Amino acid sequence: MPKVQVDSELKEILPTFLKNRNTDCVKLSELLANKDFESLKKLGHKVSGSSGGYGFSELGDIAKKIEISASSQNEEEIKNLVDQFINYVQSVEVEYV
Amino acid sequence: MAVKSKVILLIDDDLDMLNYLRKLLENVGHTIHTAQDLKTAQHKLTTVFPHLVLLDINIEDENGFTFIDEIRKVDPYKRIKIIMISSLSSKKALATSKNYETDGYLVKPVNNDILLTTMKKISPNLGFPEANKLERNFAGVMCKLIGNITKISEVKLTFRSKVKFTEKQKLNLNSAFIDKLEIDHAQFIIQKPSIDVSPGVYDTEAQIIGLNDNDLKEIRKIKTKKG
Repeated sequence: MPKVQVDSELKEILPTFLKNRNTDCVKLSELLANKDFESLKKLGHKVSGSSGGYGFSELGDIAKKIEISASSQNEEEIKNLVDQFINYVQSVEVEYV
Repeated sequence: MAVKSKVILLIDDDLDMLNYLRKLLENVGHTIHTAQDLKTAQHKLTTVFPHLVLLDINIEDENGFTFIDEIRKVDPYKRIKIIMISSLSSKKALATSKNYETDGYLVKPVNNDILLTTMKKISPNLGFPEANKLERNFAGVMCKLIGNITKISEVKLTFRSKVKFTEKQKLNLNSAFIDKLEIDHAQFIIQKPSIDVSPGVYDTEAQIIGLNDNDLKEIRKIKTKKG
């Protein structure tokens, strides 16, 4: 189970960030089913940009890989990464420091 | 040492990124305005006239670099500082940023330390020149300023801007609102010093002289908005 230490300064805005990532889980699955690689690329790009700041570097790395795989339309790899993304979001534990 | 509050405009299409940057920068005392697209950014630019713009490169289907031209139109003397913020770390993106003579480039993900270190570095350069105690020889100096008319009555109007007036001055107003009211023939005279609204933002009252009965009637028709 992934554990993340988050700066307590971000306590107020973290619930919105996590809620948005839960929404992303649904979106990613839909986009993959529709083979909408362009939107997958955009979503990966967006999440990879913001996750690191909140302390979720690992999630940012997965999102970056989704962006790259979507560019090359590697469906099998994207599926694997989307699963990783969903597992991460659903199981991550947050500790404020 | 306390941070001197600056006005910062954040432009990024990602709301999570905006929330993150806003939180960190507000916590160190800055006043933050945000925009998720370049149209909103343009409006904010001319209404808040920020000290610093943090500008994303990929904004939906727009290119953040194009907005630098808009900033320079408003501020040809490059007093507004610009820091690009992007996931792109290619030589091309960095070179473009350099060509536009921006004041910095941050590669996402941006963490707390990177952001605050960058702010610390750039802070001494965030400020607009002040013209204090002008010599009598310069009493005829004219300046153009951007502001918003926030109140109007039959005898006076209030406008909000970044300029603090301390003496009686005649004001030339170029405003679509004034044009619509057709009172551009009137004179607008600042009679008393501006009032501080927030750091670097001032409300200035100007007396309206030369209105006829029709003008007064038009002003009375304006619907008021409270709250």
